[in-house]
Amino acid sequence: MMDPESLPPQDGSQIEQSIFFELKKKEGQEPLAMHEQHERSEAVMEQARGGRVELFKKIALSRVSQMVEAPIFLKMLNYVPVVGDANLLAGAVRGQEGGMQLTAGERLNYAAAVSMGVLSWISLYQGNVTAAGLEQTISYTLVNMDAIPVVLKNSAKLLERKVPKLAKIMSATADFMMRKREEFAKLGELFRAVTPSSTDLPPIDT
Amino acid sequence: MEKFDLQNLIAKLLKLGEDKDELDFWLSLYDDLDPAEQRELTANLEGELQKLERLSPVSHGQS
Repeated sequence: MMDPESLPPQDGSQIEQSIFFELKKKEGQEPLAMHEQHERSEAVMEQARGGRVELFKKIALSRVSQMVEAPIFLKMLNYVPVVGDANLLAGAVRGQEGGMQLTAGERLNYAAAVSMGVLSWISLYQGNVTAAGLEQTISYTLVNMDAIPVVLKNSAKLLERKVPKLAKIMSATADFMMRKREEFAKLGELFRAVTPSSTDLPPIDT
Repeated sequence: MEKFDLQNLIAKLLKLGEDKDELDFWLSLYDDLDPAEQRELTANLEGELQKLERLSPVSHGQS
C-alpha cells in the first residue's frame, strides 16, 4: 500500500502541485495520479459515512424506545427497517435491495426517510395500524419521498411535548430532505421501480 | 466537544470535499444527541478528517 503522503495536494495551486511533484522526484518516489487520490478520498468518505449510517440507526432506535412505553407503538418495532430484521426492506439498509447497490450516502438517506417517515405516519394514525397496514405504509413512504417532509414537520409538532428528542430529529430530517430533494426523488424513483405493492396509504381505521 | 469546535471540524471536512447537506444535518442534531452519541459522531468525523488530511499534504499543519 502506498504511503498517503505520496499523494499530490488535493486543493493546492498548480505551483504547489509542481513543487510537490518535483520534491517527490528528488525523493525518488512516484506520485499517485490525481484520479487515484480522488478515489482514495472518496473511499475514506464512504467509509466514514457508513459509520454515520450505523450511528443514525442507533439514534433512531434510541428515540423510538422513548415511545415504546406507549403500547400503540410496540407492534411497529419489528417492522421499521432500521430497527427490526423482520422487514424485507432491511436489506436496503445493508446496501442491497432489489438488485440495487446503495452508497453509504444513499443508505443514510434511506434510513432517515424510512425510519422517520414511517414513525411520523404512525404517529398520525395514533399507532392504530395493523402489520399489513404498516407494510403498506412503508411502501407508500418509499415511493412518495416528496410527501415525507411535510408529514415529518406535522408529526414533530404533534410529538414535541411527548417525545421532544424524536420530534427534533423528525424536524431536522425534514429540513435535510428538503435540502436534498433531488437525491430523495431519485431514491423514490429507484424504489418505485422495484416496489410492486400498492402506493396508497391504508385507511385511517385499519 | 463544543459545538463551535464541531463547526470548525465540519468546515475542514467540507474543504476536503465532504457533503455539506449531510454534515449540516448532523450539526443540527448535535445539541439533542446524548453525550455518548456526540462522542461517537465527533470520533467519526475526526477520524475522517485525519485520513483525508493525510491524503492531502497541502493541508498539513493547517488548523
